[in-house]
Amino acid sequence: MNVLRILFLFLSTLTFADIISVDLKTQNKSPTYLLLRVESPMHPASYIKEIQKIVQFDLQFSPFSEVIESKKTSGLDRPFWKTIGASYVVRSHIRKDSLFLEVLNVKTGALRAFLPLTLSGTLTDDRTLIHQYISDLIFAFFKVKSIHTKKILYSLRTKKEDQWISEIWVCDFDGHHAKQITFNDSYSTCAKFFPDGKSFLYVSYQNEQPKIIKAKFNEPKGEELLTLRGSQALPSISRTGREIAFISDAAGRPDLFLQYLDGQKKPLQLFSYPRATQASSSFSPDGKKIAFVSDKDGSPRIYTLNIPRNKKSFKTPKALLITKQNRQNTSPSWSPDGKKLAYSAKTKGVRQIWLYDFDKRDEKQLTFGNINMENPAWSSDNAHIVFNSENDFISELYIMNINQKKIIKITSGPGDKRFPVFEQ
Amino acid sequence: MRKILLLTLPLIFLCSCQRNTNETWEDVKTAGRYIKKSVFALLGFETDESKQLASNDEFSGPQNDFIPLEDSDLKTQKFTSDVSLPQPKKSTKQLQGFAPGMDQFINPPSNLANVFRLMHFETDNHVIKEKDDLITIARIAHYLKKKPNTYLVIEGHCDQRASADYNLALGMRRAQHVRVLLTKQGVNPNQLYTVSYGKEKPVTLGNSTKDFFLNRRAQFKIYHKE
Repeated sequence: MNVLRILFLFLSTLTFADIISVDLKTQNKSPTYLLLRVESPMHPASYIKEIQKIVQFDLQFSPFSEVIESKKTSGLDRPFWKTIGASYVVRSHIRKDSLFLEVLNVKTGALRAFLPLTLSGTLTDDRTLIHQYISDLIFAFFKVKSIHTKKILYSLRTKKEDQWISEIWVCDFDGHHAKQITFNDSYSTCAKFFPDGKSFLYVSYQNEQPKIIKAKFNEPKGEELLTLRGSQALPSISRTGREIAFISDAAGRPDLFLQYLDGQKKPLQLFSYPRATQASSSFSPDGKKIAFVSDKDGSPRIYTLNIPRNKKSFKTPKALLITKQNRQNTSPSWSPDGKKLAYSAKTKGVRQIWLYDFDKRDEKQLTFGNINMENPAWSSDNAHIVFNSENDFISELYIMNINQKKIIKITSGPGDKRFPVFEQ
Repeated sequence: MRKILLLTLPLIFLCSCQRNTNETWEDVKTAGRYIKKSVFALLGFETDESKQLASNDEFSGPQNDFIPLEDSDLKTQKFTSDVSLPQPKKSTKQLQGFAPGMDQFINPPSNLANVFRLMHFETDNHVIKEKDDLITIARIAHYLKKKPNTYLVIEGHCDQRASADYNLALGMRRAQHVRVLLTKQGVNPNQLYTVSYGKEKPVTLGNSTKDFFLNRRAQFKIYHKE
């Protein structure tokens, strides 16, 4: 893969200015640069500044980008970029009411211009347009669908008249355009997208015992998905959307169940163990395995098992232990390419996000610090995860590139945002 | 049966020498299960057999609304804290007569506060041990046995120290344990429903040992069906 190096420079006027540096190392440790130019803008300076921030933020979230500092700029002067070792330079040019993106291939000298984007002057609308614009650019050069147009579903908990209430919300990948989806005035949580993007699952306590609801975004009340007795919790959906796994006490213990959604088959009690508690799960992308949490060996750990295809035998499947380094491992999330598992583990007293590599069979810590982090979920580009903090009953959402150390908080304000999941 | 075992065991041990550690261990466990079954059979005890289904017709399942695992291991009832007691078939929604938006399960009124007292759990545990809590179990059982048209929701709650997802499952175990204790006292299990809120609904937001203790609780809602 070609190494992409884009010089990151900010210009508030036609003169050059210092660059804001954000050191984000890529897989190939290649720096990313953005050249920003403004000419005869029709909109106020404060608005232009916000547009620049959006462009900068979005370019930080390509899978192969790094921003470095430079105090010498030279526009699209190819020899200059050659000496630095850049492969590409992206220039974002605001002229009058339009945003233009141009990309210079330093090696060949080819300059590619994208069609201009007309800025309406309304930041909320233009933010969405820029996300799509940057997404198109990334696809054109990396052939990867980026996260810029993906939504995040999550639950938001608040206290209303002394009662805890939780509803399902959705927002853009950067936390903006947050919108409440359910209005059940009870407890709704653990939402998951269906692959079609038009429907979703969530757990509702509206009738006391929690049940899994399937709903459409334009009809969020939905209906109970299963007729299974007892409580249902912590659902996960396979990549195809044809199976769900969940925890239920229908048999008397919190066990792992599997339900095929095509056809009328009853749910299958997939895993149970004497004196054990099973918890959250995640399907492998090929649908053949499932990773799940169990404390059958003492502390909660993550196991994988093969989903039985031979329906003539119902002995307990063999569970393979994955997480060995830490105690209290929970909330597994299998990457879309099947190579990694993100999860939360207690590390020196603080829950951190970890990564298990199935090829190398090793575990790597991703987050650090003294704030608990939980519920990681992958984006479709295999490079980003979203998760929530849990700190003294304050929870916010964060995203990060798994190859970079920096985590970006994308939410703020009232309410605890938890159980996030990316649209696929 | 004895002859089969005497012939089988040496074969298993011989074969295990050629295989890897995991396979050897699994074979030893399998041999152990057979030995246990044969000993129980000799002593006249009944054994639970793992079931191999003969055809796809059996796949549609028994009267259960799910297809259960049939391993004998799961039916171990040695530990009173781990009795597997299936949930009532009728859901709380069906019980309340499909009346959406109506909170028919309510917090126990003040005159019943002494009956439906909160119970508390030890860290990472689901077992009720304290004498006062066991007395509460007896009082609740006594009340429910007198009122067969009264239904109970048992809520299992946790403190905030473990993760949210694990706590939702642990809360299930806590609620289920209380349910088992009540049924052992003679309460009809179809009067009892369990709900887990994990750490979603804390009663206190502090970080002291006492705050954690207060949040690790079972609490109740009741519904009188006319």
